[in-house]
Order: sequence, then C-alpha cells, then structure tokens
Amino acid sequence: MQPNFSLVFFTTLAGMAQGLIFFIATLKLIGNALPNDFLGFLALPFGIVLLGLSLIASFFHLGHPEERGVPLICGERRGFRVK
Amino acid sequence: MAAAALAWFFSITNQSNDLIWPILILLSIALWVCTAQIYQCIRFIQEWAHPLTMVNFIALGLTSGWLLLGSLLLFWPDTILQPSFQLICHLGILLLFVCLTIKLTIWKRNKNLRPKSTLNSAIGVRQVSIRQTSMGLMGGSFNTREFFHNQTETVLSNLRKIIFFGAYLIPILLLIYAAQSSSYGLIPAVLLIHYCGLMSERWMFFAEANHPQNLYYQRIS
Repeated sequence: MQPNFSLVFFTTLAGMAQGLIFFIATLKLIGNALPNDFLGFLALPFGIVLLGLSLIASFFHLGHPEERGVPLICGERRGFRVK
Repeated sequence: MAAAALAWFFSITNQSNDLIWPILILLSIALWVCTAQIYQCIRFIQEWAHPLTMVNFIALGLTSGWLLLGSLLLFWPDTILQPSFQLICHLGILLLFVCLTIKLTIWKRNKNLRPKSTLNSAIGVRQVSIRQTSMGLMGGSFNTREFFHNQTETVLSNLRKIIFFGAYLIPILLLIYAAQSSSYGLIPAVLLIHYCGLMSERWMFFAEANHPQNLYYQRIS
C-alpha cells in the first residue's frame, strides 16, 4: 500500500496521546498518585493538544487529496472544472 | 477528546469526580480498538487481518504513552522521586519488551504468508501453467499507484533495521542504563528515539501490506 504520511502521524500521535491519558487515568484510580497541578497544567493539555493534532492530520487523509481536502484547507484553486 | 477536556477542567479547578477516570480509560481503549479495526477488518490484506494488528496498536500506544508520561513527569519540578523514576524505567522496559515480542511475531508471520489466489485461480484454468504478458495498460493508473510503496528492497530492509533498533532495542538499553545510573535526562531522549522508530514502524505497517490486486498489475507488456 502507499503509506500516506498523514496517516503515519495520525495513528502514532493519537496512539501516544491515548496511552498518556490511559496511564494518567490508571494512576489516578489506583492511588491518586498524580497531583492536580501537574495534570492541569502539563499532562492533560499535552494530551488534548496531541489528540487535536492527530485529528487535524487525519483530515489530510480523507477524500482525494489532489481534489478536495488539501486544496480546500490550503486555499489553492483547483486545476480545471469538469463540465 | 471531550472527556479529556472535562478531566482537565476538573483538575484545574481542583474538583474531584472519580467517574471521569474510568471513562477516560474506556474511551482510550475504545479509540485504539476502532483505529486498529479499520485495518484489521480488511480480509483481503493478509498481513493486517489478524488479531495481532490490534494488539500491536494497543501495545505501542501504551508504550509511547508511558514514555511520554515519564518525560512529562521529569519536566515537572516537584513530583519526581527516586522510586517513581525506577517505576518509569522498569515499566518502560517491560512494555518495550512486550512490543518487541509482538513485532517479531508479526514479522515472522508475514514472512510466511503466501497469496491465496494465483493467476490460475483467477481465471479458473487449473491444469495449464500461465504467464502474464501484459497488464492491459501502458500508463499508470490508480491501481498501479495507490497499492504499492515504490521503494526498493534495500530501503525496506534498512527501515526494518531502523525499526528494530530505534523503536525497541536502543530504548530498552537506554532505559536499563537510566535505571542503573538514575540519569533523568535520558527519558525524553528515549521518547524521541522511540517515536522516530514508531513512525518508521507505522510506515512499514502500511507499506508491507500486499493487496491481492498487486498480483495482476505486474507487467506492462
């Protein structure tokens, strides 16, 4: 298959963010081991930002990149109009 | 993501709602299962259609997430204590080792895969030996571009070495060293090396998939 780089970024970043959140939640459950400050200011925002980045990366994977998705986001004009 | 934002709100305002944490765990696992199922459910790609695909996704996600958590803990001034640093290293080594086992099993399985259909089975001619002389078109098409990675075998085998060392072996060795010598600064380095190997691993996952249609787009003329 043709590996699409947006897919590579999407799956790796999302997997990492999910792992982060999984372990934060587990550590919180088994002993409240993580202080709220750390969670509030570093860990959880990091996780949310990572998930957001992976979501944006997944947009570049949808549809026909040469027709719809990427030119739409980047604002280029399409080549020619099909009648 | 919404659940994570809610948890962030709770921790900023110092509330504690203990229901959010199991929800986050379940949602993480669900998202892993969903993203892995996208590839695992394609029956025609034998490399992917195996439960190990999902296991590999989840294991790698857990491992990179744990290394990320360890790195973030090290950046935070007052949470890190000696016992938890050991926990970061040891659990990291364990997770990496599990991922390595899974990956080697997948590679071994992929090496022994054979296509389930042949030219004979495609056109139903059993007795005669068939050779394809042309794929019917001279230029490229969607089928000739989309389903092949267009890299040489050397690139692939080099990438496999990068994956083996970068994503698994070097992080394991560095973590063992870090656990012995308590060098905190190694953990972000381990995360970076592991992430580069992870990206290569994911690229290889997509590239090594062999769609049966590749059997038929072999020769121009």
